[in-house]
Amino acid sequence: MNDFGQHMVKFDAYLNSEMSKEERLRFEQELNSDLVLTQEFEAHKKFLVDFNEGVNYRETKKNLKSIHKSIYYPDENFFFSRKFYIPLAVAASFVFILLIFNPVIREGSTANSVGHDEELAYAESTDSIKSQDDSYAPSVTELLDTLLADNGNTEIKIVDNISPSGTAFMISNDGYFLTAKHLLEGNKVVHLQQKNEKMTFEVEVVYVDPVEDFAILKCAPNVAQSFKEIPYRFIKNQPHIPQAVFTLGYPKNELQYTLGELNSKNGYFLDSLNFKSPSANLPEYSGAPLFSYNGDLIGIINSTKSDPKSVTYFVNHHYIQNVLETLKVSDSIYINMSLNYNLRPKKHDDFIKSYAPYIFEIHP
Amino acid sequence: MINKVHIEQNKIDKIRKRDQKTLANIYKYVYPMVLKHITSNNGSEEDAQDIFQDAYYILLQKVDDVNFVLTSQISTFLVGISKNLWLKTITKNVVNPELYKEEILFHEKYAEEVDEEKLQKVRNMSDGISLLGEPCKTLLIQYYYFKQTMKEIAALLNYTNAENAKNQKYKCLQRLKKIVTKTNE
Repeated sequence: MNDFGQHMVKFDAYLNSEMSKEERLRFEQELNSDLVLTQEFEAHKKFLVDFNEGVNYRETKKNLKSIHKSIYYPDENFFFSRKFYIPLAVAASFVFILLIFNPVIREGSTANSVGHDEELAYAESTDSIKSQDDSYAPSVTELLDTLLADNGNTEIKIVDNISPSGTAFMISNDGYFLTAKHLLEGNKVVHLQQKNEKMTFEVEVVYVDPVEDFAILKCAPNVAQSFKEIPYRFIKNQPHIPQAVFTLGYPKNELQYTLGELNSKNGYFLDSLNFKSPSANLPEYSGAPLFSYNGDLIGIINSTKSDPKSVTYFVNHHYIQNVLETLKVSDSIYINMSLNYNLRPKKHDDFIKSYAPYIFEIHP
Repeated sequence: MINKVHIEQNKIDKIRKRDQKTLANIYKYVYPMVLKHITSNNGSEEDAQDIFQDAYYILLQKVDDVNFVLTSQISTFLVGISKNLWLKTITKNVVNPELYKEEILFHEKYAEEVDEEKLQKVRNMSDGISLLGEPCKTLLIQYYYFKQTMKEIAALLNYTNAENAKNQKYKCLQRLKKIVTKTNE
């Protein structure tokens, strides 16, 4: 880094209050005594003002384009086709067989220990199952045709060959979704997609939690109306520990079901906002819902805090529900979940089929 | 009349809060007028969208200023600004702008609302950011606009540590400065 690079590091540290009191004083003295440095500093500040105006312009235009699209080109391709259910039903059956023959799940927790969490007794019992039948996946051409025929709008992202950044899932028939905030990459509008359903639509980021890694998204009303009642709801009581849990998400390009175990109510830095699971591969499911074995929503997978080799954390349902309640009381966002649970399946292996239509790839 | 003023002020308050429903309602009501005007004056639908959205951006900037007083209806303002921007676009390269004299005079009222130079500057910056590509775009936007820490950005972009992200940020900013300087020349 040259002199100017070093200066810029100082400028940013000063402007973002990242300096100690002594450092600030020293820097201000330098500014007072060095005219060239002062000029560089002023030019840097001015450039940052221009930069932020440029970003503001981009964000505003992005929002207006999204409004334009929602008015003139609303998505209409919503069908819960059998195509999607067949591979999932196969996967569900496979899971069912695994559950029957898997002693860990059948008998509850054992004392397998992993990594640095030796003080906690838990059983790691993660089975990852994905849809194997590629014949149901649309070709790139098909997807392009669908997307472009939809409205010819070049703003639509063609995302077939791109791995999603993570998962988002629907929580209310008003069109609200939850996801992990880091997946949004600062965007105010992102795309949700289910390739098997040839379904891609925009959602607006309506809330980003300042504390935990979760955000609320909202789709256009006509999109929301296309969904049947959401079959799951938040768990009513604190989940007991240990217990089998599962998730449905998009660690890569396909929807995957993974079974794990919840083994601690103390989360990251022992706070109570997160749950912890020893399931090593769950971090890839960022933004995916975590369900109890009985199918109740108990959290969102939080990969930024998780260790891909040993443990996964989840933002817990209690914290999310508190935030939703606060938003409701403050008239900011009213998320009506009264319709949830009406179409709830009774058996665990039916959850996959029933929940899958509400789980999406997220593309910022 | 009082009611009308009250309704417009109410709308302004909602625009200031970026109420999406209000923004969409205004868009739905006003855009067709701009579309009609631009497509009748040698413009395409894409031009109409671009111009109208720039006019909308100007309106949003204006309402954020507490001293701004709207002297007409929002729709009149948006259409006026859009017509003005379009007029400037089509007369930019013409040999004889006198041909458009009447129109220019007609839209003079809205000319003062548009700081063309400033608008071009933000457009250039926005284009420059697009040209940067990833990961520079995300890095700079997250740090300077969304005020994320370097540690958070390092995690987001899979840098091994915040120091690496910091070095990268410096290089990205230098690149952006070069791009923007070249565009503004």
